[in-house]
Amino acid sequence: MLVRHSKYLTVATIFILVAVVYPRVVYGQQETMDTLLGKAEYINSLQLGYLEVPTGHNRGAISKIEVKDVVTTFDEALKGNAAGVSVIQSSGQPSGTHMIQVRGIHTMAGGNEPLYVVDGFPIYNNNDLASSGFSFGPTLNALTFLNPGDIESMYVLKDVGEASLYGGRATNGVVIINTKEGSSSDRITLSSAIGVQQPIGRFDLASASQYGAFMNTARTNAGLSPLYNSPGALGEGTDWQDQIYRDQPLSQDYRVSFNGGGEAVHFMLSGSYSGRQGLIKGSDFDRYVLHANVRACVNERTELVNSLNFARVDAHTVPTDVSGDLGTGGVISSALSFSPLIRNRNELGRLIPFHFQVDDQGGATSRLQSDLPIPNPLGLAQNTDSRYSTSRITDFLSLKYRLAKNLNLSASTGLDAIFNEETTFLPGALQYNVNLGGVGTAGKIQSYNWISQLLVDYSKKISDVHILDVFAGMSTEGVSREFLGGTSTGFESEALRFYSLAVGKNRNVVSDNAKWNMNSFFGRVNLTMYEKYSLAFTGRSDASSRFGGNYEFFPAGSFTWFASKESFIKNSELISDLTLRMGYGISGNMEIPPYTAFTVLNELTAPLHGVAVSGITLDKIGNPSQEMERTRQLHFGVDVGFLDARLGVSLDMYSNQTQNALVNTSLPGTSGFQTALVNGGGIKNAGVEMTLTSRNIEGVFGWTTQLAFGYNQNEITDLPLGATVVYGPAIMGIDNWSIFSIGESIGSFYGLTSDGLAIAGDQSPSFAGQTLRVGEQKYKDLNDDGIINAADKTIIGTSMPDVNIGLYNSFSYGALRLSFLFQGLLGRDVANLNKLIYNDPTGQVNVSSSFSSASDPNLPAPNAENDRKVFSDVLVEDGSFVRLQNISLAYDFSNHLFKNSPLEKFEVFVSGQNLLTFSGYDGPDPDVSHFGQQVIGQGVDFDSYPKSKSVLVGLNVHF
Amino acid sequence: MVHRSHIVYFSSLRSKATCLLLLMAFIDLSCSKALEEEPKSLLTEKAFYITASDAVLAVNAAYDHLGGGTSNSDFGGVYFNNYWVVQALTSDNGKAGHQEANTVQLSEFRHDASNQFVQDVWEDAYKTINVANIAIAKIPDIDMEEGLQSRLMGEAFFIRGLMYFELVRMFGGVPLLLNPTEDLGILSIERNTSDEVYQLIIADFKEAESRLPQKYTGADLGRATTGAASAYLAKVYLTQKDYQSVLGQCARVMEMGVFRLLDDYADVFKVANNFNDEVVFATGFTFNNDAIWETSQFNVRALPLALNRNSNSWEIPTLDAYNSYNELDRRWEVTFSTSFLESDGTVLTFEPHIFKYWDPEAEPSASSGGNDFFNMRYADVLLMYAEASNEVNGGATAEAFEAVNRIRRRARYDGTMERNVLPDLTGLDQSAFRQAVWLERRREFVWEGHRWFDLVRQGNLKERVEIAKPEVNVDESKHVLFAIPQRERDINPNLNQNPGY
Repeated sequence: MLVRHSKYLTVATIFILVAVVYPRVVYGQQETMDTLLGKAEYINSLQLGYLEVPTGHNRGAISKIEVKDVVTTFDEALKGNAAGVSVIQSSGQPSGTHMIQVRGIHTMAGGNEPLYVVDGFPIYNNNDLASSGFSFGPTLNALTFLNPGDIESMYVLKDVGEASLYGGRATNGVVIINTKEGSSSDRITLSSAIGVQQPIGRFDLASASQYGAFMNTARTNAGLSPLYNSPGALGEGTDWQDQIYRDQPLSQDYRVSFNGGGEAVHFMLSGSYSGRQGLIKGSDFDRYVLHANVRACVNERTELVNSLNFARVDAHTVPTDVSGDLGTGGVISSALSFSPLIRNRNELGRLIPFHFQVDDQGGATSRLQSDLPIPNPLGLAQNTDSRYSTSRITDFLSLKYRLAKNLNLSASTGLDAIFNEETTFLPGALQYNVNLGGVGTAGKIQSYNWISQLLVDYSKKISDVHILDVFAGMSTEGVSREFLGGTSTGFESEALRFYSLAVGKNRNVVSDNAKWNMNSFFGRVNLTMYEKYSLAFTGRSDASSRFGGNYEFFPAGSFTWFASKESFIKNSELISDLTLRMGYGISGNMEIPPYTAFTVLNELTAPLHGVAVSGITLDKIGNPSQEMERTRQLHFGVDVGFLDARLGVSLDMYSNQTQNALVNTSLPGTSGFQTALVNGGGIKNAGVEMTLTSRNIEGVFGWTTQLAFGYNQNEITDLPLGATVVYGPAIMGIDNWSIFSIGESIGSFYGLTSDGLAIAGDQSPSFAGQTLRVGEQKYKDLNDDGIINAADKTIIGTSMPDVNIGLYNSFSYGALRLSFLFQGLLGRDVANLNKLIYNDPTGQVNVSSSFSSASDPNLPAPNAENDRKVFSDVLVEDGSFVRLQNISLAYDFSNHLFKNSPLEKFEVFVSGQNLLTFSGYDGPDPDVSHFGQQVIGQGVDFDSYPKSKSVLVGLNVHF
Repeated sequence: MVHRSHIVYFSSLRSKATCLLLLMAFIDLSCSKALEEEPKSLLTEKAFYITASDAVLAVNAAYDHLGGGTSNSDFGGVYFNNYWVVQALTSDNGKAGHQEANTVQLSEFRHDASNQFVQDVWEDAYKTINVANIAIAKIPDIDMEEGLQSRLMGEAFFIRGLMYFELVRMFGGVPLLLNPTEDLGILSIERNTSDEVYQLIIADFKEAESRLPQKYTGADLGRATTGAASAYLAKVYLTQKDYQSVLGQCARVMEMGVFRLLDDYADVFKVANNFNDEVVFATGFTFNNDAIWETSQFNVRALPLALNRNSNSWEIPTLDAYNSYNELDRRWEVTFSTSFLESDGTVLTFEPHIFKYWDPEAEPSASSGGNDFFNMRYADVLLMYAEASNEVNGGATAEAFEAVNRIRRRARYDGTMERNVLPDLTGLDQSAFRQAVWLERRREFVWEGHRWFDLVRQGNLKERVEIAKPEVNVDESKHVLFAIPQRERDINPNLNQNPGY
């Protein structure tokens, strides 16, 4: 493989260009299946990070991913495209993050994201390395540094067969990404797309007259006098959702690339720009990426490969996904809460800064008794200023040297440098306490990932029927992160904002520094016999500074039987391929922050006689004996190809047991600490997967189908220190709603169960200190002690999906192509905490239109005094959904309009994203997660920046 | 880096042996990269508890935990608000002003093991105990001037004793932890008896009493003094009904000559007088809009929502408390208000609210509070003396009458003259005098975190609360202690619950 065979290269290049430049028109999965089944002639091996796995060799469950659509980040392309991979979008803001679950969740305190190997460079996606955390709203996706258009192929390694080469980072799956390479013939591709977006859904909220009537009822039911004489006359009022959303925000994508080279040097250069206007005013996203791949054969023994990527992201963000008490929320929760009676501007043309109770004329009467004042949503969106910018340079250089026949040595080094800067300004007018004045912040991060590795591989035909492949390697790598940030408050003049934090009267500076590094040895021995049996042993030993520098060993073994090569199947007309796979091994997870082994002291200040004095004491108890999390994985798989691979089916079964999961275990208050990170958790993930590909119709009219299906069951089997439960973080002043409990799934919701509404004279159990009001929500007294309290809480749902599915269909007729992708997650629950606002019976905040019209008999009666916030099954809803992720129609004019031109392709397409969603969920979109990639607290919908649905038109030119 | 040179070599070298040598070199280089963590921006134990300044900082941390800050990324210490909110609500003095579940439960005596306010008191007290334990364990090994070393130890003993005193009164016998938490194997400890806890409290306060100075100057003002330790010992003995010892401790404080009653009750709560001669021990707060944990929470919680300031009516006084005064009693007008005159002439009216901690001249916006929380005032020492003397001597002595009359005399004074109210007490029998002292305690200390303790100690929790809040039922077998927090028992099954919960 030092110099690719030119015939293969040309065909491969064409395939790659067609598939990736405009992959909609190619049914890529077919090639995948062909490739996996060894039928394709044009690619004879899979480039899987360290390994190039020839077909006919031992391998495990691998999903090939096609970038089928215009996506901002490549992890989005995993949606619906790989059996067993669930993708949940944390936030709909442009370039928001996703939580990727490969075969479930295997950790309770660490990271659960897969390891990405980009052109050989292993990168764990820790968004904190690319964000100083100073901008408003959720973190942007650090994976945005690659333009998906530059990607040639993506493979998800799901089991220990191949993933275990990544040892202590293999448990969460490994995603191999190979970017496009050059070719010996010149080629230019241009692609562009422009589109318009709108929110995937909106809340149906009460108008001013509905809200006024609702407040009157709530007050009357509480024995108070009504506020409005004729609520009907209040009219529509202000629609705060209309206020915060842009009209028809644009998205644009442009990419140009040059492929070329001679016999010895191949290169691919590309440049691209992506721009997104955010749905919410004040938010946007711009990205510039330059990518350069060079492969040079220096001499007959030596090959150099360099992959260079430079990306710059500039974004404006707005405060959404804020998790605090009601009233400190972000744009969306404020838009839900804000009174429609408040005019969007006062007589002076200014925004009314806070949510007040207003009179018939829209004048403020009094502040409402909410915990904290709710700021104007438009003010939050438009008058705050929050910027995110990141420059990221990634370079990976490899030198491969043929020492002898069948013996190659390869040395590589890579550097991934990230420079992030975030600034915000919150004007004093948006502070309820006017004394505070404006607040400006600025934060900077410099992060470096680096790696050096040395690999050696040897391949030998030891007899006519035995082939031995040996591969060994070592690497040393690390991450460093330096942070500097400042906050300044009390701006009297706001002209300079964050550009000069010195204007503020009170200034605070913070900084920190974190580093970790790791040394590793790894290897694989693969023996193939009679072209039918393939046996592989893989092992990796990792020593990470985060775990005391001790080497921890992760072995795996796997066996593949190419049954179709056996004589009894070989000549079957029906079965063209039959491969059975199995493997067993141990993988690891090490994604915890550095320094958790240390007991850390912290400074705190409090006044003593009017003057703040500093004290220093232990702040966090460390665990010097912590170990990497280890998971025992067992898997079986079978690949069957029928009718010369027109129909291909892959079935996989797995059972993965994590044995010493790290848990932020609750400590008793008597310890003086709240939690400690300790090993001892147990997690089981077991499931089945099916991938089905079919060329239904071939010929002028073509129809192909791919179905991906994954089913996973997750269970916590153990918790450390004898604990039976561990609770997650509080949200909106509600705690202990998210729970790790033995026997239950990760992501379980813990709360009360509802029991209808109270009637007059109802003597059902109620909360301590409460008598039931007529129409109030009742809850079940599970322990029958006559009182509703925390002891009546139980598991009321789980956010982890049971099933992930993807269905892709492509139809072609000559140059016309139509394709669509449905994807869905089934058997999961979402905690819709927005209901605490829009179904709040007190009238303190605006409510849903259906609540105000009393059309739903299950909703409680309005009552100004009923302001209890309860986490119950009323909030937990079925979050299953199936979505038309993408539909596109394309026509290639090159054969018709431009005869005898160098144009190979002139394709115009129109496509739609997220146009249809099938779900019983009450909010606008169940595909959200308020706490992002954090494992505990998954599946919460609150104050979420909505996803967009969009329509694009685009052009791909190829000459 | 390392590889650049390798690459050059690889392309020119042919010998396998040389390559292997290079391979070995690479291994060597790889392994020489230290895998030892060095947290440069985090302070670890290795680099601390070395100098005298470290000792001071270690003790300061315990004070910080009393008021504003606690460790573990939390804010709000023991006396930030939960403590005095709980004391007021579970008494005849206070009730819920809004429908927050924890507040309502306490106000109506339907609180259970899941009450967050009570849980916070428990957790904050133990955090503080751990901080004090660290100081007590580490300071003796620090090479420093002995006088300062002993004083700092005394302060740590004082704070630890104070925390256990709060815990034993609220929860009964609690687990005694006397060493810093260093490993995770000590999680399932059992409760000690209340006697064992009291023994430790007395020992700690005695250590403090013997080590601490009478007064501080300059930046050290506000630290625990020997007088504070003595006064708290008096309170411990009073709680144990060891009246003879109360007398001795009170007399010690009174004879010190360090403390006195201010002339005007109103002056006691002026922000400018935070550290006045009447304060035996206080938890410090100060105005600081940028650090909410440095400001007291009295205004935010207790002032009326109707003020349209940063005030919320969360806890309000009962009418029974409001009506327990003669209207000419200076303390009545200082403690409560039902109206407020805005600077533009508008008059706002509302039901009675606690106004004693608001100094509108110092802080017109009421958004932050500069008032300290007075853990122990000299008035308390006088009233403890009067109460104990009455019990020891089978009736009030002249000194006992004088002690309580000093409180009444001060309450007559309106800043310029004595009003015709609250005449000096004379000629009361033992029982009448006891009742008179208890009534004086109530009027003197509204919202100062004493009332539930006093009612429990006096054995009239049920009677008083059910008069003040007729809809409430108090169970005296249960409500004389709070429930051990459920979170605590979930994690540590060896903790028995208190009766009735």
